[in-house]
This record gives sequence, structure tokens and C-alpha cells, in this order.
Amino acid sequence: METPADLDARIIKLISQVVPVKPEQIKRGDRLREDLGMDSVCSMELLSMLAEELDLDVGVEDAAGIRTVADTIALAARFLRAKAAA
Amino acid sequence: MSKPRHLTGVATAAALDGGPQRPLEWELLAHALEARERDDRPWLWFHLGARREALSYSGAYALARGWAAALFQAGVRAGDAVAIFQPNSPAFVGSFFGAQLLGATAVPLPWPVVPGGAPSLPMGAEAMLRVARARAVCAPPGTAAPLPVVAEPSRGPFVQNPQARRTAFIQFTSGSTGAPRGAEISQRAAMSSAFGMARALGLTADDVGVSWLPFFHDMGLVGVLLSSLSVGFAVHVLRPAEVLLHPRRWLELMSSERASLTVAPNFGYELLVRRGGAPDGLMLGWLRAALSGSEPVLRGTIDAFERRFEPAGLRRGAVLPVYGLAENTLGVSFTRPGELDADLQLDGRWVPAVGTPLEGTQVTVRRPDGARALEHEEGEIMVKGPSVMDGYVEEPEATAKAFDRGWLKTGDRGVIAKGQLHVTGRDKELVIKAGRKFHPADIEREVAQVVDTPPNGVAAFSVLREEQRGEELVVVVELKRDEAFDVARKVRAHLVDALGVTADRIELVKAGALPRTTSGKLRRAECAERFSVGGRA
Repeated sequence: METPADLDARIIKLISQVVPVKPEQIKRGDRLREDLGMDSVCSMELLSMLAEELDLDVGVEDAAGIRTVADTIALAARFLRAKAAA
Repeated sequence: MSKPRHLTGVATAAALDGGPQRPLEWELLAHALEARERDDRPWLWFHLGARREALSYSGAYALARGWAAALFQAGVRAGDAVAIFQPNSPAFVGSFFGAQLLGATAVPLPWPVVPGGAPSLPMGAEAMLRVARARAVCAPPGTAAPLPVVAEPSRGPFVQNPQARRTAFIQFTSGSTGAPRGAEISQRAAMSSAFGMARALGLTADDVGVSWLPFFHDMGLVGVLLSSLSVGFAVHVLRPAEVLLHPRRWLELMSSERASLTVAPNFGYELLVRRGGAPDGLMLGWLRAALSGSEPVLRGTIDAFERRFEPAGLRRGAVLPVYGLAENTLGVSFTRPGELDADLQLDGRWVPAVGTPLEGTQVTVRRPDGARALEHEEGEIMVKGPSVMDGYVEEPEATAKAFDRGWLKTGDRGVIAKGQLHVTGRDKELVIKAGRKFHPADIEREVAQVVDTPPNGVAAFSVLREEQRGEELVVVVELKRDEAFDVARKVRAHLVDALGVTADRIELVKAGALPRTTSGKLRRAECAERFSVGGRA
């Protein structure tokens, strides 16, 4: 069973693949745009990789409220819970 | 798709001629739509997740009348300019053509990739509205704008006067954020471009297109919307975000709809190679023209894409490299379906041929002294023909600089060889990211605002990725002090905030390490060479 810390680490690793920032320099509170320098194409790519890696059906509307690393993690956790419940 | 009727251009000494232009069925955008007033076939299928909505040709005409009425009620008259701030939707089509019916100039504004909250105008929009002298903006309800917002079509009388203004639309292109540069595209230029493209590819009403390019972009507007209108075929339209999030949807739609045509910049095909999944379950054998343009076309990407999906029936040669620019409405030269591969080897890399000019268009390559270059000799690409812009709106100086004795100076570098044009580089050293153009000077100026760096201590340029599979934006910053970690972070964050662009690589070097001229100016080309893959300083 994946722990919340595992999920954090996985998502931070994904982020570090999209923008050239080392995982250890990425904090949960970082904003994707203002702190990590992701433009809109990058942030969609991040969600796309996340959907693929975790096998989740993330929609365009779900992407709308994602501003920070923590938002991204929360989105993944929410989808994973829904998937487990289904 | 029928065989192109026209012969491809004939090469002389570094010149290509697309041949005479045949008459246009319609010279006004409004007339092209009006002619399909009773055509109930679907024109555009808008796909939103699992839902889809069709807009027929006749429906689009009725919708355009509704928007024309609403604009008229808002005080818009023939000769005015109207901004269009809409996603890929019936509302974009309705308001764009509503403006055309009134004889008003349409001014498409960039729509954000990621939807979120209340719609708000994009960065730099106020300057665009000011430059274009827009009178109103067609936008979703609730959009905050410095002008009257027209949010819905309505009923009521309006005065139809489509020939009232020469300029059909203004296409904002490569200007900086503060001083946007809008190409004025005449009715005739727009229709010439749409027909030129359809004729070059031999498109007919039986073709089926799939596209996710935004309609506010020249490739989406002219390459998809106007070209399909000109010959009357159907296009399945996706939102850009959908494809960025689920690249496979693009492939699935081409497969299920038996698409014969699709259009994208190089990075779109790269996305399909990296994240489009396996060829299993796809049937891409109908695809005859997968146009690749609007940013450098890379042979590595084309080969990888065609190889990956060959098991799904994708033909070798389905990807057609094309060349165009907003200043020529869109297309300059197109590779024709089935045309022989005429790539050129240059400095150890393969430069794809981008075909021959569209009908009525001439291309030459010039030396810096203005003389015509010889075949195989590199120079600036010059264009003349029916689709050339009238000029940059409200920018007489920039307009004068853009032309030389009747020829449009593209600012791009190229070679004519083997009877085809090859684009080898950009004079203006523009950085192109996902189809958007940036001036290195803008990027450098922004970076210099947040970092303590010597004069000309920042260099921005793009370099080829490994295997020629894309380009990345590199920013090299000279540091006066050792503050490495924070600087890279600060620079990256500031660039996305100020210009909306992500730097792929940020390199920090000691003060004085960047190559400069004796007068202290940067040598960007040398920087790019030094910092390209494997060539790190």
C-alpha cells in the first residue's frame, strides 16, 4: 500500500521530469507557475504524465484548479481514493 | 483527396514560382460562408471529453447572423474592429464570421490553454485591443474587459456590408508583450491562402480533418477553419488542453473518423511519439496529409512518428513539412502528398524540404547585399504573392522594414535546392516554443531585471534536442556573485510570469564567460553552438 509520503515523492519526481528542478529542491508549497516556472503547456504535460503513471482518468476541467505541488498531490490522492472505492 | 492538378513550382537560380493563381470562388470570407447557407452537412465537430457537438455550414451561417445582430446592437459598424476572445467553439466561428458579415475586422485574441475560474483576457491583450482599435470584444459572459463585451448572439436587424473594409482580420504575431505586432490580412489574402492550401494538397469536400490547434492562431484559423470552408469538408475539433492531457485522443479521433488531414507544429508529433501509446487498435491509413509547420520541422520527429505508427497503417511520407508565417497569412510553401523526399544535409544535420510555393506565390533567397543567392546558397527567404499582409497595424516603420521592393522579408533563413525550399534558421533568432514566438531580447531583458548580472550578461537562444527531436530554450546567465541555486529558480519563475514561457535549461556562468563582439554585444549564434547538446561550455 502506498503511503502519502510515497505519493508525494512520486509526484515530485514527475515534476522534476517536466521542469529541470531537482526533486530535493521541490517543496509541497511551491506554486507550479510562480515558483517552478511551468507554463501552461508544461502543467498540462505534468497532469498527463500523472494520469498515465497512476492510470487515472483526469479531465481538462480537473486541471483548472491546480496551482501548487500540494494541489497536484491532492488531485492524485482524490482520484486514487475514487478508484479504490470503485 | 484528388491528385494536385497543378504542377509543382519550377526552380531557376534560387527562385521558386508557384505558378499563376487561378480565380478564387469567393474573394470575401462572408461570401464563402453565405454560399453554404443551405448546406446542412456538418462542418465542425467540437469534441469535449466524451461529448461532441456538430455545427453545420448552414448552422454556422445562421449563428454568424446572430452574432452580427448582437454586434450591431452594441454599436459595431462596417469598418470597425472587433476582438474575438473565445475557445475553439461555435461562439468563435459565429462571432468571427458575424464580424465579417458587418464588414468589421476580426481580431482574434489568445485563449488560455488551461481553463480556470472566470475568463479573463490574456497577458498583453490590452495592448492588442489598443493597437487594433477594437470597438468591442466577443467573449464569454462575465469576462472583464476594458471594452463593451458582446457575450451572446441575438436577433434583430443589422446592415450587411462585407466588402466595407479591406482587412478581414488582424493576426497578432511576434511582437513583444508591450508592443504587439499585428499583421493586417486582407479579404483577398485570406481567401488566397485558404484556396492555395486546399489546391496544393488537392483537398476536396470528401476530406476529413482532425485538429486541436487554437482558432486564434494562424494555423488553426486559416489552415483549418478557412481551408475547410473554402472547399467544404468536415473537421473534428479538439481543445489544445485535451490533447496535451491525453495525446492519444488525437490519434483515436483520426482513426475513428478516418481523417485524411491533420495539422500541428513539430512538438505535436513529438508528443504523439512520446506519449501517444502503442499503434494497436488504431487505423491511420486514411491520413494523407499530416502537416507539420509553424515551428522548425525536424526530420528526427517525422521519422520517429511515422515509424511508430506504421503498424497502424500510417504511410511513410504522410507527414508533410510546410513553411509559412503570419505575415503571409499562413502558408508559403507546402510539400505535396507523394512528393519525393528532397532533404538537404547541412552542417551534419538533415534539413527537411518544405516543398514549393502555393499558387500565385514566388519565393527567392537573398544575400545580405540584396542580390539573389544561387541554388544551395543560404540567405534570407523573400516572398511575393496574393497572401502577403498589407502591413503591421499602426506600425508604419516596422511595415517599411518588412518589405524590400515589393518582397516580404521573412526574417527566416533558407536554401533553395533540389527544386524545393529548405528553412535553415531564423535571422531574427526567434525562440519558438509550442508554436509561440519570443524575441531573445525580451527574454534577456526580463532576466536582467531579476538577476545581478553584467551588461549583456544574459543570453537566450534555442538549441536542438538530441536526435533532432525538438528545440529547447536555453538561458545563460553571467553571475557577479556565487548565488547559483536561487538564481536559476528566480529566473525560471520570472520568465513564466512575465512572458508565459518555460526555460528548459538555465546555465549559470562566471561574468565575462559569454561570447561577445568587440563592442560588447552578444554573439547568440556562438552561444547556441557552445551550449547545444554535447557542446557545453
